[in-house]
Amino acid sequence: MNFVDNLYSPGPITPICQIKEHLAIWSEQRWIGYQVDYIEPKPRSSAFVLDLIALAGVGVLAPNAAVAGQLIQALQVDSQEFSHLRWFVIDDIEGQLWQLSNMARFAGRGGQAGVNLFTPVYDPWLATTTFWILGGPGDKDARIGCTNISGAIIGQARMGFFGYTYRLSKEEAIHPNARYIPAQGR
Amino acid sequence: MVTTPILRASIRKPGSAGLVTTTAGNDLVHTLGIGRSGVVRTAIIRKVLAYNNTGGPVTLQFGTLDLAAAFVQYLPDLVALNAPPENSWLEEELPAVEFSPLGLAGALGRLGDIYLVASAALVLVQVEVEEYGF
Repeated sequence: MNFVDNLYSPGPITPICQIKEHLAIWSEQRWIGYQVDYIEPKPRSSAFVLDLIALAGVGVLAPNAAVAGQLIQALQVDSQEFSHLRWFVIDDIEGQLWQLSNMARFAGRGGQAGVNLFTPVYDPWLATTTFWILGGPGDKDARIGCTNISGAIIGQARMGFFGYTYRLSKEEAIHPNARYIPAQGR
Repeated sequence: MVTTPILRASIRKPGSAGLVTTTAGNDLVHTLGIGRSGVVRTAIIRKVLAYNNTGGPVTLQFGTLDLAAAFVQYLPDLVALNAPPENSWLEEELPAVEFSPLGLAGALGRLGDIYLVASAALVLVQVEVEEYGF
């Protein structure tokens, strides 16, 4: 069994396991074992399309101006939940993701990648936009910001999220068949 | 020899200046998108729509500015006839001139943003562009 298959592999989003299978999620500097009790889809819908300009209350966004990372309350999960999400932008912006308060995601030493209108052109299923939110202690929520890359003043900076939420039960030890998930990356 | 085409992704959008009323001077019709790394998109004009009710034909020149702020014409003159009818130039009729910045100094450089110089004021012009880059 390939433990990393379906995490970021190209193609439509699918659950990373079946109900009653096991996960090992990296959080708080260690792998924590869980059993999946339930999996619920979050299809693309208006409820998870957000306008960062409205969220930040900045009115309009000048060319090359940025909205700093905003806590996305719509994506928050309960302590025994785990979200598996992909995202896209609607306006001519580039979105960026931070987790653990200020930890840049999709980032290397040299810079932080983002998601823009061209992302689905090369990655139609948005697999490379995959990220995870684990509920519970610590600040694991998603903070999303964006930069106006359109060259013009824009009045909306919309982006949408879709995927799955897993309801989890914590396990004393990591199950030998658990699938390992990076979660917030550390 | 078999060659493999390389996909150049693009997006279509209206000129960022929106509906432009000509002033008979340099009128900005589209500002190129600029990325977080500072790299600039390029653009090709895919459609021009102009309404001229000035009483006579008006010449429209599309181009960019050099880095000494002088206009540099890219497309041949388009003549917008007096109304009616409206004047339109579509993708099939327009050469695929790519507006792109050129970082040479002064008159040798190019801003890349799309400008219009009309021979008379008060012509209404809207363009559609295809942007390449990121």
